[in-house]
Amino acid sequence: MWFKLPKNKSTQKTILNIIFIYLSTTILLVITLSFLYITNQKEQIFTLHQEQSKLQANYIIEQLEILHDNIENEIAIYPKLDGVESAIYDIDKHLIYSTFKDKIDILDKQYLSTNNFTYFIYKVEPYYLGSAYLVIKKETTQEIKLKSQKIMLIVFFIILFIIFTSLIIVKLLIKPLSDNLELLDRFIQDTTHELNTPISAILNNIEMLDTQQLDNKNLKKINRIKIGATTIATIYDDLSFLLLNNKAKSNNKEINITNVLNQRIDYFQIIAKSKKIDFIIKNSVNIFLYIDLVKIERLIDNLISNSIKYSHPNSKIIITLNHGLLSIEDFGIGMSRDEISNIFTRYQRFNTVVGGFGIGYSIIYNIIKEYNISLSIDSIKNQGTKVTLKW
Amino acid sequence: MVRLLLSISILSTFIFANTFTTNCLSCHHNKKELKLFMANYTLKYSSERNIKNAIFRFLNNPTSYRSIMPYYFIKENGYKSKSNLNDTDLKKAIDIYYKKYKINNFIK
Repeated sequence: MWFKLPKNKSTQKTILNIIFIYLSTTILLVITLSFLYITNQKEQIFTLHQEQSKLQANYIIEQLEILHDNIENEIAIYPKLDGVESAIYDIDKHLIYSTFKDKIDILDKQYLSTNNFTYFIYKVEPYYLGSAYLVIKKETTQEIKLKSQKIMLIVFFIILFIIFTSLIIVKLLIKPLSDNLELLDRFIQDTTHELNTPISAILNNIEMLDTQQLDNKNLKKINRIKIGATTIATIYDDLSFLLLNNKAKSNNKEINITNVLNQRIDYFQIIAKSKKIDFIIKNSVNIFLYIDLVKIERLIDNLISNSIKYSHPNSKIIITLNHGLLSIEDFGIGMSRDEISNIFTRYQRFNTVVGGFGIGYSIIYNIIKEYNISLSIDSIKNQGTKVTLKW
Repeated sequence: MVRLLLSISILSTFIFANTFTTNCLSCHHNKKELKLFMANYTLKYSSERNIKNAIFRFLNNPTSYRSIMPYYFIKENGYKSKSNLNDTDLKKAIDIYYKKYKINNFIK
């Protein structure tokens, strides 16, 4: 496609906002200018009609005078001009004679405007044939309609042109941004492929080690290696999920969430222990959910891994699983309101001290969106965060 | 009922015509003259109401100021004496005169 918006939601929003502001202001300007032009044209037509009608009125008054002077004649033929409609009224504003059928109220004005016509009113004195007012009728709609149609057509093409140019401008503006995002995505994709084999090798070999033969010093070192490798493995799982599984079709089935949760807690025990964090688990027995296994694992892993990451050392994490509810509560650095509102933005991290790519909540968002799971975050800065999922 | 109304209408027209004929046409025989009077009144007063009022005022109390005739005409011929008709009859006669000689009747 000639024009493609970046996938990132906030970038899309910014671009759309820019297009909206640019388009709305320029279109408003064009419409205002065309409105002023049409108003000006209307005034010009009015002035032209006024001048024409003045000349016509003078002629008719002259003719009325002649008719009045020759009143002895049997009949007085009212002066009729080609394409000019007129009427005469007496001093009490009663109609004497008219070439048109419209009923109008003669007020002490110089003209009277209706939707389609303008009536120019001239005072006559002396009252030839009794006429105190002479009215000349002019049609205005047709001329203005034609001019307005012309202007609207021009405005339409100008707006099309503005839309076209705005798209070009936005395309030029977002090009560096899109290139960078694409580069980042490609880098993560390549790195992920390369990470798989070494991580598996490290973890498998650690598991195969005979810990009985190791002294305390070496056991501690092996544990640290295992923590590091587990952390990298989690990141690897997240990245490969984002790049591969997220796009694949979900393999949904009834999953025992209680079992999955316990397994994932076991998996993270080693990392939690390294920060001296205790898990307090409040589980109901066997909760089931119709979901893809990989996705529920990613969901739970990300929530637990975040809570460990942002917990204070020597604290606890309370995990509650109940029918239709899973909550994970930590006692760590917490988040501000702004941070919570930006939480689902990809690559958003709130603390650069702790590791991670800031893709955790992006994964969580995609999964809860797919399964209509609601997520609420209660957090107080420097006190902790409680994340609750409801389905 | 229709006949009765028609008869009343014709009768009343006849009575009013008589008022105008007896009291006005006895002196003003010339139709052109009557038409010119109306033209002069129309030129000065424009509307039916104003014209009738002006004629009524003049006939009730004729003065050179109230006359529509030129100054030299009045100076030479004077103006008519006060009408003997009561206000109602005078108004009826004026109504008939206006109806017959109003300018609108002659514009085509």
